Amino acid sequence: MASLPRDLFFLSAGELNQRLVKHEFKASELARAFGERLEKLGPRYNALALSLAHSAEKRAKDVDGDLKRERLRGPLQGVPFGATDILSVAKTPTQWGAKPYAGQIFDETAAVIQRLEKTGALLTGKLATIQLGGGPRYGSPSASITGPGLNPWDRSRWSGGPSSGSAIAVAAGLAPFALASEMNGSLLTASAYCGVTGIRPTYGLVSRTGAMPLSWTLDRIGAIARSAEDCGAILHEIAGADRDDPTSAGKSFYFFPRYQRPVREIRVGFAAADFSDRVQPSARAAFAQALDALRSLSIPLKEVALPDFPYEAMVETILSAEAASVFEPLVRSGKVNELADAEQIEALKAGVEQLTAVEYLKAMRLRRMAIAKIHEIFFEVDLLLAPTAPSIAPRISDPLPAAAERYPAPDRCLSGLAAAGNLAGFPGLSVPCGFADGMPVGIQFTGLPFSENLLLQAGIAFQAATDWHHRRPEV
Amino acid sequence: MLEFMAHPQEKRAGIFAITRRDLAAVFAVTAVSAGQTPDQPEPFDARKRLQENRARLDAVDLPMHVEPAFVFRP
Repeated sequence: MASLPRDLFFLSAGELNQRLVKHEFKASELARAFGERLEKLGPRYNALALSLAHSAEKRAKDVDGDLKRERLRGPLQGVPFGATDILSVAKTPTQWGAKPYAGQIFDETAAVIQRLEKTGALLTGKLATIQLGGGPRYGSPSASITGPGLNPWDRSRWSGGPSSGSAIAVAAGLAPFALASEMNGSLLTASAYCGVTGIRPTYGLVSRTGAMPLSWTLDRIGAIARSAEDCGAILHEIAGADRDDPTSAGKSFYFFPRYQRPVREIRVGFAAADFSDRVQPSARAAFAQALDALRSLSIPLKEVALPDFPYEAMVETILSAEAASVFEPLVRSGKVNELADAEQIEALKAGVEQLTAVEYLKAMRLRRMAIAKIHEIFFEVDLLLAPTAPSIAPRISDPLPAAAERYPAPDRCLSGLAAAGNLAGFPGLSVPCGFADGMPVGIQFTGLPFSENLLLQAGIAFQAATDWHHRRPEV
Repeated sequence: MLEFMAHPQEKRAGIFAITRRDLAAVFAVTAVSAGQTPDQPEPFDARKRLQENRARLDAVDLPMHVEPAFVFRP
């Protein structure tokens, strides 16, 4: 492995870029070091789908030339990154974590990766994912061609998923940041389980051209990184209109943290019960401290509750129908039986064979009603706050119970925020906020569409007042 | 196995008698052997789950005029 100091692997993307600009080391050295580390340690956590270290080192030579001539392209120039294996890279395998698609090769690179490469960021590897992005559902962390994602904090525990490899890579210092996917809270949950920061952008803000389709009205591409500030810098580069993506919102995103209003003017809605009754008992102290940290920033907190809708049933119905349409050929051919998870096989079959158009349309109509009602909450608050996950990462050997089943929600709370946020296309940000039983936990902010700057401002302020995002596992 | 579950007094006396309690224990062990352990979760039934979701959606009052949340541009 290249002889760069070990601490380097846990620096943020911004910090690495600053050192590159100062010529403390070269981009090619950095790419080699991270590439080698990903190749060596990635398999230990079942995080690596495909190494691209060689091509990253080749591209890094051009980046070094630019840096030498002081042709600066931004805070991601020369920074290595990973991408979930649902994103295509031209002429290399993109397997979607699933045996039926092993060896699948596309001619084009996903738009979001192309955008990052234009900034001089260097793709060092494709990262493991739950097969088919976890859709429509799966029953075990082992639902992947690469095996279960192992949490860098405790390898007997799951990393979370479907973008398991992305969360692992950032937490274990295998990549400063990684692209990940989300449809029902997975990107944020994996970030919380692994003690890193994750951003889920507004639906349509980031192009999905070149991403595996799963649920046209729910899927999003986001990022996992070591800080909220990094997430902002990444989103600044990957957001924007794409005429090749019919779901593109046609909007750009500009990350200007200096020009935001004071954080004490951000009104945050939360439910006290979410931080006590609804979470694992050993995590309550960490969540209570997180609330105290926000109060110390003079952020006004107000009790709110989500309107009463069957959010999970709506998401599952929509996801089942849309995934069934996408993967109907897989089911009809019988190749669906090659998938590694029985629950996922049965869910895909049931979607193709049983789910009716009337049910799907009902869920979509309720979705419109729910979105209108949820928007009303934001007359009184600017952001919503809740634990990202109610418990620490589960053990690999345990089945995956729904959180609602383990920690039943009291009447008035933000239970269902993950599902509601995804149904409404809202952006979200998860930041680490402490530990329980030696494992990280996180809190999530959710806002109205295109309110990413507000989310990031709250996240940056929280991380300035705490140091949880600097903690790292022994790797 | 029956010998293992014999009552201690009966064992000491060298007498082995099958009681109703013993038989109940045997049947329970047999059930466990067949994989019907009551503590294990049931296998996931995707079709049943879809029906449960349908029931949850049906429980919400949905006025006729509400349109689906599609994105459609002619």
